Amino acid sequence: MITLALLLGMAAAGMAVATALRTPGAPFILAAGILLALSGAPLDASLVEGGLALSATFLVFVLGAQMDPSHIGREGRAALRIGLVHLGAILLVGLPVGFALAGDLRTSAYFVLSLGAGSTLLVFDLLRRRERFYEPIGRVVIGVLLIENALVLTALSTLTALDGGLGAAALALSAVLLLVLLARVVTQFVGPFVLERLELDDEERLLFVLAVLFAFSGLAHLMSLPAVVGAFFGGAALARFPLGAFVRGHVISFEDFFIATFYVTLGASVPIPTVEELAAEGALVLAMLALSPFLLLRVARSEGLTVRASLEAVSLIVPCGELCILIAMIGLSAGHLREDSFRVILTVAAATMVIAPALSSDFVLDRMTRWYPLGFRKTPRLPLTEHVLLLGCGDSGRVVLDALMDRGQSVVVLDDDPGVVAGLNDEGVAAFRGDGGDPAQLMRVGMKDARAVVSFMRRIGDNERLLQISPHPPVFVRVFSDAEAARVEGAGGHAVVESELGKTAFMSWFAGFDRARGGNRDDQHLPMV
Amino acid sequence: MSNTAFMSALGLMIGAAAGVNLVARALRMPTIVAYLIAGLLLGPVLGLLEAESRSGVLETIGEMGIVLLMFLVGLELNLDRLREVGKVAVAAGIGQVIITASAAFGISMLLAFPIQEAIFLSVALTFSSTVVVVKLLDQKGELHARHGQIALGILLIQDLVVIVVLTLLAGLASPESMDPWMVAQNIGRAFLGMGGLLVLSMLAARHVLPRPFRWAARAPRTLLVWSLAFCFLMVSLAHALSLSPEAGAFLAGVSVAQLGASRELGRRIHPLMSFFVAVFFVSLGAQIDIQAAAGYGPAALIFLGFALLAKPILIMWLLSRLGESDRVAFLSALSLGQLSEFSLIVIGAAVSTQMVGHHVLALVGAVSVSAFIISAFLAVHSDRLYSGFERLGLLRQLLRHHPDALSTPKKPKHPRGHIIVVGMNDLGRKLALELHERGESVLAIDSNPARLTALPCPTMAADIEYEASLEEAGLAHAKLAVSALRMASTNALFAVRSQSLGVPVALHVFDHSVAESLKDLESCYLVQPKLEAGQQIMSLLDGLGLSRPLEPA
Repeated sequence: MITLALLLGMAAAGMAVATALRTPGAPFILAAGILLALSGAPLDASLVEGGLALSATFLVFVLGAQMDPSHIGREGRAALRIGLVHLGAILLVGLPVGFALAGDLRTSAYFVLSLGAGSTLLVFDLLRRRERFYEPIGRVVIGVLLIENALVLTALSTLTALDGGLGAAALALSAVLLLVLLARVVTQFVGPFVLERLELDDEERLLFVLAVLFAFSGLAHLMSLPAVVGAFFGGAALARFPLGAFVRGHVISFEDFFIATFYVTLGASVPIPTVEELAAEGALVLAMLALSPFLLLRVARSEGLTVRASLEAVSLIVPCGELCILIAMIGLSAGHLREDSFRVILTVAAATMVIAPALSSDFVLDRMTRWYPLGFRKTPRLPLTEHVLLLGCGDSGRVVLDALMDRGQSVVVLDDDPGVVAGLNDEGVAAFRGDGGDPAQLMRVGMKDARAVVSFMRRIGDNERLLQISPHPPVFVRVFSDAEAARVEGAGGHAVVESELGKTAFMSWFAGFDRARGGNRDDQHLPMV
Repeated sequence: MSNTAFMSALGLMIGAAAGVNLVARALRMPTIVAYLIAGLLLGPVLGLLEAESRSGVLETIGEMGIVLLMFLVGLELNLDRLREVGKVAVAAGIGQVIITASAAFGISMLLAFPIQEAIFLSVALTFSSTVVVVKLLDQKGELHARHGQIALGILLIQDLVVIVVLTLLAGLASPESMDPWMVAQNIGRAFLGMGGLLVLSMLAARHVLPRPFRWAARAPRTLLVWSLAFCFLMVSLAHALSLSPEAGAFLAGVSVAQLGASRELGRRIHPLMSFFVAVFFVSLGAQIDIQAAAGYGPAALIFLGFALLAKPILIMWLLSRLGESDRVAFLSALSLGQLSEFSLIVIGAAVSTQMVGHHVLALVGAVSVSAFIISAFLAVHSDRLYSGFERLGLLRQLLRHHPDALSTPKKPKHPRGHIIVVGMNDLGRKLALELHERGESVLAIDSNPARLTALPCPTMAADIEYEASLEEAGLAHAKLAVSALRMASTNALFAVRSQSLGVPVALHVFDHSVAESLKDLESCYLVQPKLEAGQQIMSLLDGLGLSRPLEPA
């Protein structure tokens, strides 16, 4: 119990740092575990080892349980192309780098697989925090991770079986296919029957979830595959909506707890690499990771993602995470990977997990988007007078643009996303790439000669700068809160509060709903949209 | 034990528990019984789970289950209600311990056990199982009912007596420490430790924890890990003071409960506890030595009858004399009709110091597990049993027929005909306020308690991804479910759960791609402020004549 108290205490400290920095906790919990080991605290080694094995199994299960293929929707093709290009790039660069580091092909294969496995849980966390989960970018990234994880785990199963020859590797591949088939059976028949028709209580449902986990990992073990491969497919069997909705509560609890125990026990059980190891191997590995983004950006752009979305997708796909560490752990325990190589992979994974949130933050993405080199694209020559200037062209902007164009009013769009601008240019709209928060750029698109300016810029500071330009035509600003509206009105603009409009529309619907309901729920005929 | 062996053993235990539970469900058998039977099958019957494979990490997992269970009890404990039943619990608890121990000692002597074994047997038969009772009450949603709180109060008194007993038994193991002064010192130290831990936990709850925990509540994962870290810190302190880990976990739960957000935390910990505690019960079932116990068949049956009948009847009689209603007395007493896991620990310790023979451990083990199984059945069907007994007039002689005024409903009342609004962002707050002003009964929900401040309607800090949260919010009886969240996956889940209960739902759609993904969900109103904003700006432009080209002069 003292070991547990120490481990959880250190995990809590790591989480505190992560919460203060508003970033995912995994790397900090890992660092806390390393500190615990360095402090020489009396830890029960068997408990740490057992805890690590248990946490790893649960973590991969949780990872699989979030891989809902139906979530990817129409972005499947883009996800497949990006995923394959990413793995291909890692393979092409990774094999020679790994060979240079370790001197044999199998070790380099472990390098490739480790670094090809994305940081799924971290990415899911970031997508949820940034409310991008259901946006096209979120769907593409989730699709890429699903494809990569499945391929990497299949390849890992074959790689671990290679000791027994090609026949054994082929058998391992068949075993993976069997697991996929079983997962399909659970998704289609067993899961819906048990979870939807049997009307189980919470505890019975939990038992079913656990039974699926242990049945799949046990089966994988019986077929000589790594148990985590079974755990992944077990989780994936329960991921599809609405099946996943029934197990979500359990999965969140396990994720929260086992992320903490996995990283803290991992930190407590592995020695840190020396500076020399890091300098030599780490630099090569990082170089390998750094090469793939450029290729991925091109593929993402060719799939129609905007520049910003492409940059964001790449910054989320490239970092390594829990699966990378697990693959390296399996390689280490099978004697296929040297301990120093394992330590370097671990450090690189931790480093990329720390960097990923910053790299994919709005601040960095905005700047990268501005600097992104885009080929010259000729914009239609339109007189920049008597136009309506539209700053930003997302969902709301599109409504205004279409309505104005229908009425024959000339419109000029300024947007910071080159992809959006290019798309509008293709439609024949006078659109320019630029920053609406920059007065100089506003002048270039004829702000002073415009009949009106409509701003959909998110940051209130940008809108205030715009309103400081004197004289200015009537300015209409979309804002999110009453406080922002007060600032805009105070600066001389017309504010349109999104939440207020949402409320008004809802209340008008609700009045009809309430009337139709007439106090009897059974007879209700609801006005629905 | 290697990791592979440990994971295989764990997989076997969970697989067997799930399998037996599926059958048990058809027979309306409590889950505890299913776990114990799964253990019996894996251990003594099929020999798949050897003693060696149950030790080490698996043992720790089982202990974690108990710790988390007691932490949850502390977390969900209603201190006011406990205070209300305090006097009754103390009087009934002390009375029961004295009378039960004396009677059990007498019976053991009559059955010709040597005096030393009779002492240990009387100790083993006196106490009831906190883990089993709490698990059953939790399963039935009766932890907050009066009979649940009385049972819990009696168990707490028993825990205090356990401290004394453990100290005395430790003395029996080394006769030189049986010096009365030394015994008094040891007992004093144990009580001082208990008092110290209690004071420490209360001070922490009042002065140390509130600010950091309020800060941590911004991130539910951080709050969970911090709470568990605090729980295991208290467990370690309890261990250092020679107290039971359960006491430390319980006090940690009581402390954290004072900080708010305990319901949400409880919901997050519950699945973990259920997993770990399942391992504990399966492991317990696997430990039974059926062959060794078989030689003591008649004695085992007598002791079983004593635990299942005599002890509850005694408690029932005491509670009735103390003014409790017939129903409360019956239900409280029935839930306590078993032996404690502590009994096995005490006898195990006595066997290891050769104070009693191995057969006593086998006997107590068999009686304990049988009592767990039968008492679980009785507790699950307690209401029906009470009605039956009352109809037959079997309780007439024993109880004093107090009316049932003090008894509380089994489950807390859920709201009805209300509107649930989830996500207290700008839109959510506006919707909640407007609906409230319109005279609707509104329940505002957000996972961050800070966002629920200054709302005039009832609020609830909860994560709606947990089904228990929606159950507690009374979704099944709601008039309308509204989500203002900007999390499409959570909204979709909310919509499916609402619709499965026939509750109309309105969802915030913040992106056209989200609208597309939700269009398959019928009977769903989509709040689309982005489109509304675009249309509003067009109206303004139209009003000012700015939306059409200027006519040539």
